[in-house]
Order: sequence, then structure tokens, then C-alpha cells
Amino acid sequence: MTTGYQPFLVASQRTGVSLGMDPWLIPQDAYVQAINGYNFRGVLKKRDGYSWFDSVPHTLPGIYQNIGGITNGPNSIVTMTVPHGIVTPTFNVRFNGVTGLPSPGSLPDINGQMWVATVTGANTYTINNAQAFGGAYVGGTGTASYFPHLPVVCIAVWIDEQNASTLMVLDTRRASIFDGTVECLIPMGVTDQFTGAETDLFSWENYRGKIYFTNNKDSMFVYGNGGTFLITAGLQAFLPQYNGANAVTKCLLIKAIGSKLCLFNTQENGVELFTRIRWCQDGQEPYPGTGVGNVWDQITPGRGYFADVLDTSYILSLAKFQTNTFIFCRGQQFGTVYEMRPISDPRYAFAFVSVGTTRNFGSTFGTIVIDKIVTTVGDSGLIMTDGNNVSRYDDKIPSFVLDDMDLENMNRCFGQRNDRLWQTWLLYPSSGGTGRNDGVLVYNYQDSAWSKYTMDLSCLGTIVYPRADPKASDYDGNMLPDWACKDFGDASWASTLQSQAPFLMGGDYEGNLWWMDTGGGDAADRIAYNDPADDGQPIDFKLVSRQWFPYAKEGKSSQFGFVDLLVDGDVDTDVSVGFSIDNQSAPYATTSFTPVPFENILVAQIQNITLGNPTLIYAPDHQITTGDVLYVYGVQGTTQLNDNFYTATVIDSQNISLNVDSTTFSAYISGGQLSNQGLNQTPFWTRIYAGQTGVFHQMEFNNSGVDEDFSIHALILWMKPTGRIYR
Amino acid sequence: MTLPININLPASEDPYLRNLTYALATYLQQANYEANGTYVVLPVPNQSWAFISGSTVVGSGNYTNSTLVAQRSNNVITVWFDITWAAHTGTGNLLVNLPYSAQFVAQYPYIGVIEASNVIFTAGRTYLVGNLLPNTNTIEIRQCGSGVASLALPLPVAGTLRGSITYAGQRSN
Repeated sequence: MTTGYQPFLVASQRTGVSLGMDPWLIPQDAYVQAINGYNFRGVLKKRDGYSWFDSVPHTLPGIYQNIGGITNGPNSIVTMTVPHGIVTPTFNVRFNGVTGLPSPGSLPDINGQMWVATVTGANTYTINNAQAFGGAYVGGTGTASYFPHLPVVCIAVWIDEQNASTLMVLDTRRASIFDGTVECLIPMGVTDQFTGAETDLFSWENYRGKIYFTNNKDSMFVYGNGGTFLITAGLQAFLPQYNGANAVTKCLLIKAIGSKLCLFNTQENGVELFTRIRWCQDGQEPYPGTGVGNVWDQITPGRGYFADVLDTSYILSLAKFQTNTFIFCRGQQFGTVYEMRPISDPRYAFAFVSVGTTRNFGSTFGTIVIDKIVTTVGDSGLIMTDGNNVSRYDDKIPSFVLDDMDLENMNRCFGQRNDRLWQTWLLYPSSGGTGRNDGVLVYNYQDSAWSKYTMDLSCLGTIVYPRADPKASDYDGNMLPDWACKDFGDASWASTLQSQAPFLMGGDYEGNLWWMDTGGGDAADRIAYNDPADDGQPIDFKLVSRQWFPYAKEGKSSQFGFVDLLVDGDVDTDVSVGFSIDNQSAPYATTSFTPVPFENILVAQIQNITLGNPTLIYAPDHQITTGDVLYVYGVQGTTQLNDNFYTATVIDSQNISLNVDSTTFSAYISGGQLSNQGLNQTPFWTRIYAGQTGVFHQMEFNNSGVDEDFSIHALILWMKPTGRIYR
Repeated sequence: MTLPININLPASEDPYLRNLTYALATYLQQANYEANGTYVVLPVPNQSWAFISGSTVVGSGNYTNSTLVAQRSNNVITVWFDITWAAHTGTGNLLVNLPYSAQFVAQYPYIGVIEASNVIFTAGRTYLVGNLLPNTNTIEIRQCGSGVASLALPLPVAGTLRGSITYAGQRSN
């Protein structure tokens, strides 16, 4: 079969969104498109999905605390003492602080659970508890929340004075905070506090036990228990004053630098000061920041002061870098990066050094720190600085910003590290899109590899895994993602199960918060009580190779005989592969394959299983002999048999037995294969035939599905030289 | 000599050398910044500066042709000033406000020279010195004379002071 064909290895895998180079055989950068796939340590993988974590709750529009009573149910009737204010027929409701109503059996606790509520009157609604609660409603200071589904504009982590971390999520109107007791977000405040649009994302910072927020639209806000002033009743407005009534009314960015809380691009006394940086006294409580001689006082030596970054017109973004801070400033034509460095002067507490001038910058929140470099979004390319100079780092995808991004909405870009996979994620609005972020540019900073995801997310955040001691029982609850058993076999999941492990979260335009890189589908949810488990939407994976030209040195066209793929196995995955030649858009051949070992692995199809000891298998026309060691996979129902080896004893030509006691296993439903090779012994080689002759050869892989994993470790293209390169 | 601040060393493609270059440039810039120090001229244009205040009632005054210059090099600060005021509403002793505070010490070692015009001395006192109170940014003007204890100078409604002082300043953390 391989007569005359010569192998061309493509490994390790590394992909670019577009190399912008002529067709050629470039082993590592072998692809021009990787959609919904990523590169990790030389392996190209279809990405995981994302799963629902929670939605941002608001207190009911009516007076939220006036729960007059809740009947035991089933379908408990909730009576508010004043109109609840909900105008839709149904809504999701969640209670906190309700006492009584103990939950029997499998019925969840009344508190912390999202219920489907049906409005029955101005003051009443029912919830969908299928069973009655085990006791009467007692009362208490319970609150009822609903979910208005406004865009998420901030995912923050508040670090208190005891160094404990707490998730806070803000939508365009209100804030919410994670409650570890009921394990969900609970509303902060009973009225709208913000007026910004979905583009008014929040900058936030922890400083001395409090967390500070700003959206450059409203006043700044503060929350926390550090210092003298304890703030426990929701976010408080923060309007620092310096010297009398002079006040900073808002700012674009807020960061603690050199033991000082610094405000960037401020509005002071109603005047926009786009280049202003104002800071408070070293290590002092900056809130409330009012009164004579407070920490923002700019006259008394050693208190606060300010600086204006010269030679520029607008502070757009910043990033902490080692002990310094990079400030990205927009100019009339060019952008400049300044380094802001703490010095010993107690008055002018920072020195500003120009690192370099480059193309203008286009995004406030698209800036990402990657250890020794900082990247940001320029209005014609992606830019990095390491403090030595400023340059582009998108040399493999030079046209990405201009071709793929919606330049009018570039400021929506949002960057975040995803350290579990050594990636940075840059949310961006795509050209021709709705103006909202609908794509993710993924950059593997170890391999310098790029790919794109399709996701509609407004912002990102990294949180620590919020459970102290995760247990298996956690994984079928309401709060956790749609875990598939196979996920636990993936080495990349190891850190997920550790308490305090960092985890990437995404917020969307519908008020939802998602675990990223979890589950086999997108937007998998199990939001409310009795909602059917949802594995999510299919992930559309697409991988397009370069136009390979294997006999370039010989000046010959070639026949593409077949390709050997080193892949991980997944019997549920169906991959379509198209082959095309010489710039032809339509493939000359399309085939599909399931990533299983290529030859002689399937011994028999299982058609029935009788539980017992031993386990009886009905497998017509099998070719098994007694003593064969067989691998079982793909069984529906009796899934406990899957992915294990057993020794077979032949009963007759239709039946065998396996040396396993399946008495307590689940009943058989359908499917299943017996193999002489374990699919868990991955990766393994599989083969696909092509056959056409041409100068340039191109392959396209497509897969769309839920829980369909696919990864390529290497390819070997089998080619043989044929005729001339011109016709 | 003003030492250079914008130091652009050639950067290698090698990651280690780039880190080294950045560290070296940072070190040089930081050292030069500290050596060059800060030069402050008060009042800053479009802003006021309360040069003089009273120790009992701070008060305020009208300043004409007044300036204060401070040079901070590392934590050594030298201040020169020439202040003329009128219609000051403060009471108590005369204090001159500086842009930097002095290091705390137990005694009163920060002494500067003062020239005064149209200021009436208390009997027995014949010359003035400026005594920068430790851990503050205020100079107390004291009257001295032969065989008598020094005495703080009461704040006159109007007057002129010129002087200079060098002291150890405080550092930002």
C-alpha cells in the first residue's frame, strides 16, 4: 500500500490563525485556521465547553424582604407582604435566609436553590418544588432574588484582611457576592447603583482589605472589612477629596502601586483629566478619603499627590509589571508606553520613563501580563512590551486586528490569562459581527501558537476554586459544571480539583457566569430545580491545514496517498476530513472517521449484556478465542464495563463471558464494542486515504458535537512525486 | 550634572539577556532619578501655596513676589525661600511651610539662616534662625540674642523672610 510514497512528518503541532505566508510545507506551523481548538505542548486539541456557574441576582423589584409566608407544597405558594413587582408569567427566584421548611429526601434546601416561579397574583407566586417541605415556614429575614439577565461587566475577587478570597460579580446595574454557605451569588444592595452600558467595564483593585471598583461612568465604589471603616451593607460610593471640597468624581482605572491606591484618567471637580494619575498616602486607608488633612491631601507632605503624563492625550490602559507599572497612552497619532516607577520622593512618588512609541492603543481591558512581557491591543496590531522596547508580537497573524476585529468596537476587548493551559484569552468583537465580543483569540505563550474560539462573552475573570474540599457528590449538584467522567482522566484537570486552584470564568451579555474549559458542550446548564440536565450546545471545531507543497525542492507535483494521524481515542467522536488541491475551494474527497486505532482492533459488536458473575455477552459472529484479553468501550447503560480489559471465555459462536462480576452494574441499554487494543492506550495511529495528484495539498478537519473529544499529536503525510508543477 | 533618565540599552533576542537589560536599565534609571532628585518651585502655576501660617490660628495671607525652591537629592533636602506677605489672619508663632517633612529626631538639629525685613524683634533678641521642627514640614522662626533663651517669633500681619535650610527628609515607602 505504501509503495512509492514517502513520509512527511508534521509534528509537534503548532497552529497559526493565518501565517500570511506563501504555501509551503512548514511542519510545525502546519495550519492556517484552528477554530475552537488549541495547542498544548505540541498537541492540537478541540477545546472543552463551558458550563453554567450562576447568574447575577437582583432583589425582587418590590420590597424583597417581605416574605409573608411559604406553604409546604408541593408547588409551594410564596406570599409577599407587598407586590413583588414581577410582570412576566414565570421567573427564576432564589431565597436566602428563610428559616423553617426543612428539605426532605432529594428536595434541595429552600435557600440557595434557583426555583422556577409562576406568578399567581400581585403578591404571590408558586415555586416548582415537586415534594412538600418537611416542616412549616418559620420566617426570619429571608430575601427573594430574581435574575434580570443584564450584561456582566466585572468578575472580581475581593481579598479581605485575613487573605480570604470571595467572588464578586457586577452587571450593568448592581453587584453580587458569592456566599459560601448557600454556594451561590447573592445580591448586594436593593437599588440600582450603576448607570453604565455594557461597554462600561469595571476596573477593580484590592487594597488593605477592601476592594475598589470604577467604571468611569459613575462614582468609584468600595466594599470590604479592612481598616477602620467596615463596609458590610453593599458597595459604598467612593469620592476621595483633596484639600477642601475638591473631589475625584470618577476615573478610568484603579490600581494599588507602591503601597498607594492610584486613580488613573480621572475626572476631578467635573473636569476630565485624561492624563492624570492621583494617589493617596502610603499604606493608609483611602476610604472615605474626606475631611481636612485626609490621605488624598495634596498639600501636606507625605500625603497624596498627582502627576500628569505628558506628551500624550489619554491614559487608556495599564498593567503591573514586576515592581513597576506600564501605562499605555493614546496619542494623536501614536501610542506611548510609560513605565511608572516608585521612587523615594514622598511628594512626587513616581518616576515616569518612556519605554517606547508605537501604533496607537485601542483597548482598556485587552492588556495582559504574561510574566516577562505585557501584551495589549493596538489599533492595527497586537503589541507587547518587556520594558526594553515596544513591538508587535503578532508576526504570525499580522492581519488579525485589521481583518478580523471590529475596529469600531475594539475597546470591548478583554484579556485574561488562562494559566492552566498556558494561554492568554483575548475577547474581541469580530468584523461583520454585532459589535459585541463574539470571538476569543487564544495565544499559547509557551508555544507561540494561536487559535480562535467562538464565544459570546463580555468579560473574564480568574477565581480560585471556591470549595475547600471538593467531593464526588459535588459534581451532580446545581452549582457545578457538567463534568464528564472522562474529564477526570485528562491531566489538565488535575489542578481543578484542588482547593484554591485558579479557574477561568466568563461573563456573558445575559447576566450569566460560566466556568470555562469545563464539559463537552457550550453553555451547559442545569440552572433551576428540576431543569433537565443540559450537556450544552455542540462545539464546532475546524482545522484547516496549510497548502502543503512537499516536493518543492524537486519542483514536482505529488500524489497524496494517505495520511497517518496520531490521535487520542474517542469512540463518540465523528470527524469529517476534506482533501483539496491547488487552491480549489471544494474538496475532491471528503471522508469521516472516528479516532480509534487503525487496524484490527474491533473484535466484535456487543448486542446484549446479561449481568452476573461472570458477565455474559451476546456478540454474534465474534472471532474470539478463550483467553483473549478484550477491551470494552462504547457500552450504553452498563457503562461500568467501559474502558477496562477483561479475559474472555467462549461459550459459542454468538456468546462469550467476561471475568467480571456485574451483578450490581447498571442494566444494558445498547451499543458497545470489544477490542483487542485499549482505547485508553493513547495516542495511537490511525489512517485516512486521500489519493489525488496536485501541486498543493490541503486538509480540513471538522467536528461538531457535544462530548466529542479530538486531538492530533502528529501527522505523517504519505506523498510521492509525480509530474511537473505547471500544467 | 543631570544624569540621564531615559536609558535605552540594546536588547538581545535572548530572554535572559533581555531580562538582564531591563534590570540594568531599571537600576540605572532608578539610581539616576534618586541622584538627580526633585526640584520643586512653589507656588505651582495656577495653584496657591500657603507659605506662612500661625501656630495658634493657621490663617491666610496675601503673598506678593514670593517663591520657595526645594531641591531633594535622595533624602537630603535644601530649601530656599523669599516670602513677602501682608494682611495675614493667623495668630501665634510664625511658621514657614515647606513641601517636604523632616526626619524624626528627638532634638531640634535642623537650623537654617533667615533674613528678615520689617520684622520687629522682642527686646534682647538680635537675630533670627529657622528651626525646622522634626517630623513636620514647618520652620518655626526663632529670635536669638546674647545671654538669653531663644524665643519663637510671633506672626506679624506683614513682613518679608528670606532664608535657606538643609535637612534630612522623609522617604516614600
